Amino acid sequence: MKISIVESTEIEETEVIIKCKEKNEQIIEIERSLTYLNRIITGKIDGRNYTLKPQQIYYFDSIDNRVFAYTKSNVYEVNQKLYQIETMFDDTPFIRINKSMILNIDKIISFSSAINGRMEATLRNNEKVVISRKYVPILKQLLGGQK
Amino acid sequence: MMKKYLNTFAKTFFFSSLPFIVLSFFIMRRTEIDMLYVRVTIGNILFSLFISLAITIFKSNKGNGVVNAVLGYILILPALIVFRRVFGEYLFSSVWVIYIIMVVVGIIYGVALLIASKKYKSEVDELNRLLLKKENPEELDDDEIE
Repeated sequence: MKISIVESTEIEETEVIIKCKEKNEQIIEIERSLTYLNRIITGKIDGRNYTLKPQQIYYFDSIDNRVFAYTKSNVYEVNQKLYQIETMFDDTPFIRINKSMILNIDKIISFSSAINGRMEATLRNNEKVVISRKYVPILKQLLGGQK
Repeated sequence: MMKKYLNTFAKTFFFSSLPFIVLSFFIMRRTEIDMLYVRVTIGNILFSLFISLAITIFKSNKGNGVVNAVLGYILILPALIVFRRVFGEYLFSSVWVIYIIMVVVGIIYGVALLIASKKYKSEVDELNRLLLKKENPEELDDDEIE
């Protein structure tokens, strides 16, 4: 697959053209990962709706059947279910890390483990989230390692 | 937390029932002493309650990991005492046997923890390395060439 970037000061809006023989699964995956940045989530705080970009979101957490999106310093209630968010952000840096959480791996600064085997990820806002061992192989793969 | 605890309790009770029954059967055959079913069952329930509490606290996501590990061991001790109360007169001929068992359990627990934490540490190191590589791909690739 050839990738070329044309830089020009005359271009006002970035445009990506995919040239292919046929629109197969690989192309759909590329398209999906490219449109990731355009996806938006609507979050609610005190009855007011806000538009959230995926890059702003640190993680999604489900508490008592309610889903919340956590940004650097705010918490927004989201209307979607966790499994819907998981599907929506498939093939993106968002990954399920335990039963109730989907994490944006771009926000991780380090990993640590406790003596009892609990694995934690420290985020850019110094928050710590627990990673279930079940999801470690997928996380490893997403970070570029082997399962 | 309660749901998790009850789930662990159900599993522990299920898996400890068989050794309890087999031991009772063994004692009855060897000594011709009647092992009361109620005594064995209550003992099994109490034993499972302590063991499942130890497992739940050990695996808990809240609190300090080291404290949870120590609490996990401390909670195994009453389970051993319950075990002694059920089978004590037949299996534990001397009083000090229970202390030896506590020490042996402690050593096994410690060694298991050490092996597990070493394994987890290597996993965490690998993840941190991948994270660093993701953030500074060129920098780390140069290091790897060396």
